[in-house]
Amino acid sequence: MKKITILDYGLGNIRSLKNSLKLISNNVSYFSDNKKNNFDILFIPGVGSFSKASEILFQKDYSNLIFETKKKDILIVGICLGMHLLLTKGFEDGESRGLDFIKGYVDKIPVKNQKIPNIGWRKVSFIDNKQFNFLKKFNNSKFYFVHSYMSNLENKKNIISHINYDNIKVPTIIHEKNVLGIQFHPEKSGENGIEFLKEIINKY
Amino acid sequence: MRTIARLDIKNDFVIKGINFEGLRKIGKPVELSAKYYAEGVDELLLMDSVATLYSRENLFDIIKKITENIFIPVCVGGGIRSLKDIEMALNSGADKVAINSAIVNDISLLESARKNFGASNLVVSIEVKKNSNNWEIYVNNGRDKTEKSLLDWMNQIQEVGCGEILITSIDSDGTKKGLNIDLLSYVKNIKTSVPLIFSGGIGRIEHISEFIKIFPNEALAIGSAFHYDLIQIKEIKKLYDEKNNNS
Repeated sequence: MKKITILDYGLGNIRSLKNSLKLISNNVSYFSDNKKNNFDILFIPGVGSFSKASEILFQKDYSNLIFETKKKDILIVGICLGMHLLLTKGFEDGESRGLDFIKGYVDKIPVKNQKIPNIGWRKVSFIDNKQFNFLKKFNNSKFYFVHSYMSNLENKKNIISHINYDNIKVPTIIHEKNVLGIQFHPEKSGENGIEFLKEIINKY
Repeated sequence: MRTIARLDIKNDFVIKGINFEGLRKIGKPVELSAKYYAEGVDELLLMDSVATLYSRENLFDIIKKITENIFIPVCVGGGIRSLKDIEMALNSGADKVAINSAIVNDISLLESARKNFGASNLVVSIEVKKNSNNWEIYVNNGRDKTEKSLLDWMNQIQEVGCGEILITSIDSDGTKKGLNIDLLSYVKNIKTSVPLIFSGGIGRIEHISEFIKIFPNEALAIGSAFHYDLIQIKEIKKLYDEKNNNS
């Protein structure tokens, strides 16, 4: 049974993520309850502003925990804002730094005709990727999105899947070494989302 | 397009009236939420119609129970008056909050909420009614009229910043006679940059077809039609799939 820890840094609803992960593993904790650093997967959730999240991460000892986890080759999964924080920097309320695990920046979705936030269930398209072949079965299935900002990556090889929103290819799963970023909310995507989390946790 | 099940809550029960009056008990919130989730609804909207301190705490307990087994977005509204209330709602497992009176009284709450929690968590709830050709804003479940017009108010809240706007037609609420087309046409002409949710009046699947013609990409909150089994969620999904394949 994999040991899962969720970073609780005070942004957004993390209870639902915990509830959904509890369906998959009976060893799920918040980082605040698990200071022994004993886990197999670290989830970084979050809804809110990049600048505020960046401020919290780098002010407190959260970033040390994350950098240590990264070094130990333990899987780090960032969801929504947690995904955005994996990038080099973000431009919400000015420029602020990210964790720089995946080269790129976060900025507002440059919509022309559609609205922001992008809210709702969208079909996700997967790109061929040997390492993540086990996710291919989710190709064209729907996940729940709510976001106004998107990842812009330097290296397209980091992209595992995307959606098409207002004719913009928005990366929805990104990857680099032991770091995985997910734009949608698997914990809010019904049974399909739970299945998705199960695959990541058991097959990565 | 999203379909949202709307559950108006009084104490421990889901209730429903007509034009917010003559409230009848429909069932238990946790059970009904589980039913609509199993049937494939996109989101849940829980609105506390009592909105006292006690009922708010009760509502947060209900949210905790609901989100143990339900993995779709949950929005909670009714009596959210402060940043602390928002934080408690989100910590209970809600993904977003719907706020009406507190923002009408003091719009600075919207701004501080946006800075603290991000716009995407914030739904501004608007109750609206037409009086001598003007669409006017109400609070407290359609009981109290304010001095604000719908147009000005929608512009103001979007300027400050919110994630979504929920528009409830007081005259159509609970009637099941169809959406207020007059209101829809009026809103269609207002410039909106955030997603909209319309509530009030849905009773038959044809009403949803009418809605899609006017607003193909916006959301509907449905109460009575689900509570009284007048529309199946899968019928709505079929309608949208047909539409998407044809366009």
